[in-house]
Amino acid sequence: MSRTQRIQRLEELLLASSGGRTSQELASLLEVHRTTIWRDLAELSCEVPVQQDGHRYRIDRREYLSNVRLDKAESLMLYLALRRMLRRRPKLHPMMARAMEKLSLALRHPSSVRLAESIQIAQRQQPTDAERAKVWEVLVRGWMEWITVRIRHQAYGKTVLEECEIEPYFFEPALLTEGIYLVGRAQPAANLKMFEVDRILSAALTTRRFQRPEDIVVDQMLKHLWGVLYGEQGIPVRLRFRDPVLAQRVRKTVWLPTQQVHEMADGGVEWSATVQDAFELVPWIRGWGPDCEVLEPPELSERLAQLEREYGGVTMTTAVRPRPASFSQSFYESLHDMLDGERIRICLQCSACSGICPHGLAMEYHPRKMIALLRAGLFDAVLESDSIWMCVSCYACTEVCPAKIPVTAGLMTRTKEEMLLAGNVPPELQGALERSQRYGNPLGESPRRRADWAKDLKPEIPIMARAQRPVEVLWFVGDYPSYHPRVQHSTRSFAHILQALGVDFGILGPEEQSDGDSQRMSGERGLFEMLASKNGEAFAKYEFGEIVTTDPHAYNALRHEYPRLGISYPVRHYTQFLAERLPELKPLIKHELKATVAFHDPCYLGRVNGVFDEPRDLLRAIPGLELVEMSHHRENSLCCGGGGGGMWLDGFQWEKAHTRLAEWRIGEALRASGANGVYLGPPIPEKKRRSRASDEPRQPERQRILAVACPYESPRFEDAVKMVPGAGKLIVKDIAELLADAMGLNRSGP
Amino acid sequence: MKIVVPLKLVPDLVEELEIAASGAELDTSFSRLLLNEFDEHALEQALLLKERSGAEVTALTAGIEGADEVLYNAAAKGADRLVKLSLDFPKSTNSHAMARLYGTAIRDLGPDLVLVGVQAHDSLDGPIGPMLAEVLGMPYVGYVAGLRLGDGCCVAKKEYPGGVTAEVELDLPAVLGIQAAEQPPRYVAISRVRLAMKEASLEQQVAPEPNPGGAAAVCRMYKPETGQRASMIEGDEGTVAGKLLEIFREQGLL
Amino acid sequence: MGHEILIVAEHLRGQLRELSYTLAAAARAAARPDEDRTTAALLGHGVEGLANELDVDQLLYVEHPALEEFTSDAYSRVLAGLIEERRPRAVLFGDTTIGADVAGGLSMRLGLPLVSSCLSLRQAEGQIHFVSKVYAGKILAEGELPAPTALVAMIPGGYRPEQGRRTNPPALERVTPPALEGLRVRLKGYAEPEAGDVDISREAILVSVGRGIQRQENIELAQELAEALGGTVSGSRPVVDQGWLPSTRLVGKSGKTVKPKLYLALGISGAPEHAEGMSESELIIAVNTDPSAPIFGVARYGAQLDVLDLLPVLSEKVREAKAA
Repeated sequence: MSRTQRIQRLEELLLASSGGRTSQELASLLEVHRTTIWRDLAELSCEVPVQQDGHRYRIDRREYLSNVRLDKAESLMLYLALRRMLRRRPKLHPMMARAMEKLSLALRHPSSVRLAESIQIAQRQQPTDAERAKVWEVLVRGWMEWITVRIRHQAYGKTVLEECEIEPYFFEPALLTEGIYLVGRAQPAANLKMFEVDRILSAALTTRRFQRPEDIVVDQMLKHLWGVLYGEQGIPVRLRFRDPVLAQRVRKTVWLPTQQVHEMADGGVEWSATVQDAFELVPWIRGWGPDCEVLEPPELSERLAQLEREYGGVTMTTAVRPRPASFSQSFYESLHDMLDGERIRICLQCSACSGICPHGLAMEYHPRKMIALLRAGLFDAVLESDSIWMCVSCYACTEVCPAKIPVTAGLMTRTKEEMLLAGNVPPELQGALERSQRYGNPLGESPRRRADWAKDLKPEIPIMARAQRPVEVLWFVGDYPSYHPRVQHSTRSFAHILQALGVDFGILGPEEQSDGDSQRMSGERGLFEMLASKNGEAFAKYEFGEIVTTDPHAYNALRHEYPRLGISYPVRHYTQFLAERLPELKPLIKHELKATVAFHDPCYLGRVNGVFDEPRDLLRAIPGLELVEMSHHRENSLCCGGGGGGMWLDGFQWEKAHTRLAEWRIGEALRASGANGVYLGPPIPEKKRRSRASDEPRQPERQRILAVACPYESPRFEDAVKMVPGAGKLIVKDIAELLADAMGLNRSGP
Repeated sequence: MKIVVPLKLVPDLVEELEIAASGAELDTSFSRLLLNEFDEHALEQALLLKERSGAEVTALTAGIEGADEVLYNAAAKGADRLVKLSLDFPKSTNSHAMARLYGTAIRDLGPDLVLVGVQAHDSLDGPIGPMLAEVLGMPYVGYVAGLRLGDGCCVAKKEYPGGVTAEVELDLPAVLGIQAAEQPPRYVAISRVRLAMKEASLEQQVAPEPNPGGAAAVCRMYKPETGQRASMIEGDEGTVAGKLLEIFREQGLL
Repeated sequence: MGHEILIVAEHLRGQLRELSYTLAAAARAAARPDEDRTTAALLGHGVEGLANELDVDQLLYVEHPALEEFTSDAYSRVLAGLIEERRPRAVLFGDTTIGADVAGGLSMRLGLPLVSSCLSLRQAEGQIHFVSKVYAGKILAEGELPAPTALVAMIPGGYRPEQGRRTNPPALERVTPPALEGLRVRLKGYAEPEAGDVDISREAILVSVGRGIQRQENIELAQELAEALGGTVSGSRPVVDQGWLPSTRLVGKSGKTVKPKLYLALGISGAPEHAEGMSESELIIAVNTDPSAPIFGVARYGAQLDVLDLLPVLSEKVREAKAA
């Protein structure tokens, strides 16, 4: 055997014998001369604590605990684990540093040597503290050999040291700080206690051994570690949250089992709990920023103020800063704040969500996988990829989830929020959000021209600021209906219908801002609130009976989200409004429409808000019209791809998926309306070209129409029609346009 | 390393531009102002340098309407200090006046590097950068699309026509006219801006009366004559395409 | 009492830049015939012959190794001295990556007014009038150059370069430069554009796209038209900044100047920085949804359409016509 092998064998022999061996014994076992053994021992001693006891050599197991042999792949894994730890915790406990150093050196690779060096450099900043090292040694020994330890401990906030004896059961790193806790049974009280090791000033072994605790007990302790194990030594902490929205969150979430939440008259809350170490709450409190005020204890507010000064008055939530190490955890917990958010805990991983997601195949991290990673504490990977931007917030996943988890509103939207906070947003979407902020609409059009679509209409459309009178109906027009040339046709159609019905209505015109719902669903909560509050101010200026809107996204926002901000008005989608008036409408319908019509249920009207029948009732009122259903209809309608920011992510989504949801839908519309030989299913990713004359099906007798009721859809579907072979004759029209045509109102059609 | 980024607000060209009754300037009653796109790039470049080498970035602007928002936005993106020069600003203050005002304020900040947008569309009397450099007694290089710091100097990537770029070394302190940052300006979520509004502080400095000397007086401003404009082809895409084809044929391009 | 109109000739890597001829033409337009004289300042190292075709009355050649390539510090020092000494009526710079780097500083330093983005000059009744483009070319501003000395930074488009050319070289006078030590700006080297891509300045047909193309994937549509016509795709700044086209395809102030037989400006607004790179094209056709876009001021034909609607139809028609 080689020298190296022999030295390894020597080490094994020494470890194996507790009594030790003489050099002669070793020499004969290894078949070499004694002098060789002495040289080997000298070399071995450089790495391993070889002790000499008279003539016998031994390795003290108490001092030297393991000898690990790893193969190449295992070495790499260990190296990576060390790198990861180093990345997360640049300030190392001295012993941690030494352990890591030894491990890295053991890997015997140049990069691991560099690893060891970087640890050394980091540690050079910190002087080794012999006292602390001794304390650790004692505690570790007590832990390993089940010996009761006597300690002198300085509790938080106290100047007096207390002495006690403790049976050290286990160590556990603190959740939020860099500290390490020792948990054990204290004598004489015999209750379980927890001590921050850095506050144990001295430790000594007693002569008493204790009984090893049962595993069950240890597991229970681990579960309740942060907060439960207190005796009478708790420190009361009181915090004040003034903001009513935050208060809601605080009210519903349990961070500490001992916490109490008291309502305050101003809508805020006071949160109180008893903790062992108030300073451990510091990062958590700072995470709230200025919204959390510390009432008690004074030392805690002093510490916070000191940190404020150190950081120059800008707290950790402004600017782009790296996320804290426990990000997965805090993100997971924040999801619990949503209505039914805690249901995420009962996810079965059944993958119904990912299966029904229209873009599921093109997402690196689809919904099910996101939940799995979240629960495994590995969510960072999701935030480092950009697959979340494939989500079009269509609510299909939410619809099918057997556990009723609010996937879209909770997980997907919150993930987008995190991405935006970190500034990771595709440029197309960035542009739309910046334009929404600057101009009050994502198209970047001048707000002054918001009512230009109505300029030439007779009679004049009343604009509230000029009309200055109460109206029955405030018509919230929306961005695309106001500015997009194609959608303006539907808008004018609806205006004609309202006038024909003699409805007393008005519009806000230049005072109207984007409803903000799509911006909200793409992660810009702040922008949504800003737009909503401006709309709220405009609403408050005028008197009206109800709001009617031609935009399902606006409908959704006005119905559910604006009331959360205190802006609450009765609101209906135009199809609901008109369906109610069918008895008055029907006599006004003069022309029949010989067409086969498929109605596309918009996600935010149908699936999200349950309005399915009214649009169909309106269509059925047109004589000659044959209403057919596409294979995906009502609750499982297929999204057009425009929601959740999708309207402004076409290029991005195309690059990833090489398919377009709108084209898929056109295929279904054609099939439903009787066109043959049309491929139905997810579009095959092949190079598409605009349709040619030769692709048209034979001239049908009946028109084929795809009816829509959402302003995103006419432009999206018309673009798709140009791309799907055979779709050339498919007409896309909003229900308002179809009605207005049938009523003979549209002289200026598209 | 201290970097100062002066930010200027310019008229937003989304709105229809109107000439004032005097005929010699813009009617600013309806114009909205937005941050000069090139200044946005300058800020982005400064923030990139901060992320790479830990510099301190100060955003500075003149206190006209919209100035506060621009500064808070900068803070939310990562600027460390915000300085607002307050004065009853006449809406149209020319580049020479701005350069002198910025110069006085910036001199007190003692920066190593001043990054400013290379041009702005409202500067008839020239871009601010070279003038500011002269006021501060610093060297200037413009049309910079990339930057790295050295020891007491910096190396700028200066863009020339035809895709040619030059590496130019400047002694610090220096002023650079930024054409494009190394990355498009980052997005900042509104919630961060609001947080900045609550937490970041604006340092106000009273600016002296601006001295606009150095610009030529404008006798007349007008929109380019329709007579000089293209002859428009009417119709939908099919009709237009047909006419274009005729033109191509005439020109022998087919 | 004749005045001097001084122009600052620009050269890059041994070649005189074409704008220098435009400056010469502008100087002539600003000079009173038989009264004023036009002069060009040529700073460089071993390049005396470079300006032999420049139509000016006199050439001032400043020779120094430190002036071999343009740097702002060296040029400023030399020009400050020249201007102070000669007190010309006007100094014309290019509003370029060379001229604009120094004009403003000199204005501040010497206390002389500066007019920028200037399209043309003309003299009338002893005054020199200027016309400049402002607000991305949407507005023109006119005025008079203040006396006794004014600095002007000029953009191309007001004159054809041929107007500033002649066959017999101007009279040359050597000027000793001031000391040029301790320069704070130093050129380290040039980098070529990405190799292997087309040279758009050599193409006869350019299908050029701007913001109106909306998304990267739509460039394909322009590609199809370019192929059908036998040309190449180029673009304006926003498209190149987004990375949708390489920088070698950039037309404009910091890109290439092109003069193809056909320049199709699709969804390009036509801001001056772009216009100056293509205004000399033989036939310019512009398509834009905004009828007030400045591009319609340089184009011969225009259509108010969405380029995304026009492109496929046009490509189709061209293909059909060529097949026939």
